[in-house]
Amino acid sequence: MRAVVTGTACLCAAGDSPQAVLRAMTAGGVCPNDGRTLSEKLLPFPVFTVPEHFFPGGRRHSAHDTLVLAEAVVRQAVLQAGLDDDALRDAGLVAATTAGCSLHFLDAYAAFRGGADAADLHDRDDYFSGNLALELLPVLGGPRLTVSNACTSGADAVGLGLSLLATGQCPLVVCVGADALSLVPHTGFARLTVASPEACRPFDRDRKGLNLGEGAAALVLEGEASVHARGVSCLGHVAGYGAASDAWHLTAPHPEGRGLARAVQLTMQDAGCRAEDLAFVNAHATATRENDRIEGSVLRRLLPDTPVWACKGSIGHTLGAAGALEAVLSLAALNAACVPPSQGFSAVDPEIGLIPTTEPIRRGEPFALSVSLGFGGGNSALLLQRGDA
Amino acid sequence: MAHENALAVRAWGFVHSLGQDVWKGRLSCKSAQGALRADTENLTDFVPKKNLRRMPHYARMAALAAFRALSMAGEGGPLGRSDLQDAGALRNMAFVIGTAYGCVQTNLDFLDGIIESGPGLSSPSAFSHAVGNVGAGLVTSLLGIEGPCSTVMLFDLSFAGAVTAAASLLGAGHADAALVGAVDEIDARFSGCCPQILPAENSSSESLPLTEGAVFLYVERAAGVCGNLGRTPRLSVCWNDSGRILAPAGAVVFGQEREVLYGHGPLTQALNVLAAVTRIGGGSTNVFVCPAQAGSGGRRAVVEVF
Repeated sequence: MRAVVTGTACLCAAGDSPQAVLRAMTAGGVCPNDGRTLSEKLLPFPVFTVPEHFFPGGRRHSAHDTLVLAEAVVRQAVLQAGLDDDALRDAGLVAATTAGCSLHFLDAYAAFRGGADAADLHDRDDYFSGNLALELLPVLGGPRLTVSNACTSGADAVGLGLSLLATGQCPLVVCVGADALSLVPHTGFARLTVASPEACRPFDRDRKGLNLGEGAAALVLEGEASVHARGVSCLGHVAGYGAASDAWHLTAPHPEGRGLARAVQLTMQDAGCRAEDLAFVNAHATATRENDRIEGSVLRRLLPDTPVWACKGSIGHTLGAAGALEAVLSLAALNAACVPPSQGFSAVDPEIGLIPTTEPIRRGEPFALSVSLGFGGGNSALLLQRGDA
Repeated sequence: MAHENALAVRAWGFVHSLGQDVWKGRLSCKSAQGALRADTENLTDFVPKKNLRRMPHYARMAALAAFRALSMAGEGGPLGRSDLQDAGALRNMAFVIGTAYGCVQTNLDFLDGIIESGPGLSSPSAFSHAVGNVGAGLVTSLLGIEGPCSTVMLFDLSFAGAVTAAASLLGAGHADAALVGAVDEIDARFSGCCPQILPAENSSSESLPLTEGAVFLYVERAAGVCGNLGRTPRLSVCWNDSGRILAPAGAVVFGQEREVLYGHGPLTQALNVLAAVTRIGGGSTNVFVCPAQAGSGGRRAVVEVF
């Protein structure tokens, strides 16, 4: 089954709409910063942050920050889809986050260790609101899921949303991925020695690791019948989804990219899509040594003639938001028939032999593939289809 | 309730801090204060001890319950031993965990490191073992499961969420079977500071000890199972925020009051479902409904076992 996309929205360091982000990427020059607005204790690895005015009242350095980002994009996507409370009554919601679920209570925990009374901590709503699916869109009456699959979370949220529709569990579903940055995940990635001390360079020979980013993206998915009944515009389709586990290692991808290759093949089969129908592949491309080497070799093997777009050099790795955010951006690029350049790339890594887009290219094919890899050995792929195709 | 996406439960396994007969007796809540830990020693029945090095307790509980479910599926169940050994069945198997809080101990170990030593000296291993899907990642590696893998975090609705996700993956054709379950651990540091785990005011469970464990069910699509299901237990999830429990006439309701059997913790719905599954597997003709709710808005979901 393919789902119709009737609403999209996104928010990240490069902009607050899909079109604004693509424009910024095409123009180049979106740079990471030192992240001092997050914490004075941050280790010296740059980040891509959302402007502070998107956090009304300031950041709270808790899961609440992630909820604020998610609320912003859900509001816009629902508005674009023309959904009122009645239309949402039977809808489902699949949310994705990583840090938002479990890693954002450092301040409360430090206060507790310092002798604060648990009852005082209980007054704070930051922890209850930390669960996106339980807090977003109160009117919604269908299934609610919060997925925490590390860096494939966003793609899996969209894939599970598609599966909810395909199995008739709801007539429409809102899919959202969100993660706000904080000291905790930033420290974690720095200590794992996968963070870059400079702007990241996906697929580049001299890449030194990832830059974390933050952001959120939302998609409203509906079946054809619902779209027809409501008479709303089609922005595109989610035409396929596939997921496979490496069953290999907690933090390292399978050396031959076994799970990724399978996820890509399953997704293409799911939609009956051929390689020549693809306008581009949106790669996970975190700019870590291992991810890019293995992902690049899989993409070269399976899709040797398909342009590869690596966008994390302009927005950073937005963790639980990444899969949803890059699906929204891929759909916008498909509809514009133009693939943006991959910021940060300049020199071919002979071990990979892959050159991502270095300037905007025109592509009229109807489909794009967006892939995600994550801690825990998860691999997921989404097939997006142009709105007029 | 609609049953189009019902799952047939072909096997199950669990581990719990009150032992393997957790639901047979009434917990003496006044005498059993504090937190109770689950024993995962028997995991070495399935995996060499060296493969369990550095595996956190949370993942050990998940692994033991999952191995027990797979073992039951392989012993006279739908999976033959050879299926499990040649990994053919595992390639198209999904793995879905529901967890309220994830791997709490390593999470707090990492936070302790930041607070005590500063970010520059915190443990990278604690971080990688603190991410939300660490249990799913480690268990799929250990079992060799290569299908889709998801972790659903919804506080006390995590099990209902996991079953919904599994039913979606199976129904949409992304897997032929699934191991679906719930796991949650306790940690004195967490239960002291985290408001989510404190019993609500005036709750009857206020004096119950905290407990932990894991429940896994080996499931297939009920509509896709060949032959007569007979009294094979089936599951269906209904999401509703109306406050009413949607139950067929005469259904047995297994609700939160059954915490007096299990102790306090977010596993109650999964344990209630398991109790219903074993009763139906044992010949009961009742229909069981297992409600739960979570979140500040009181979201609800009911798992029906029939």
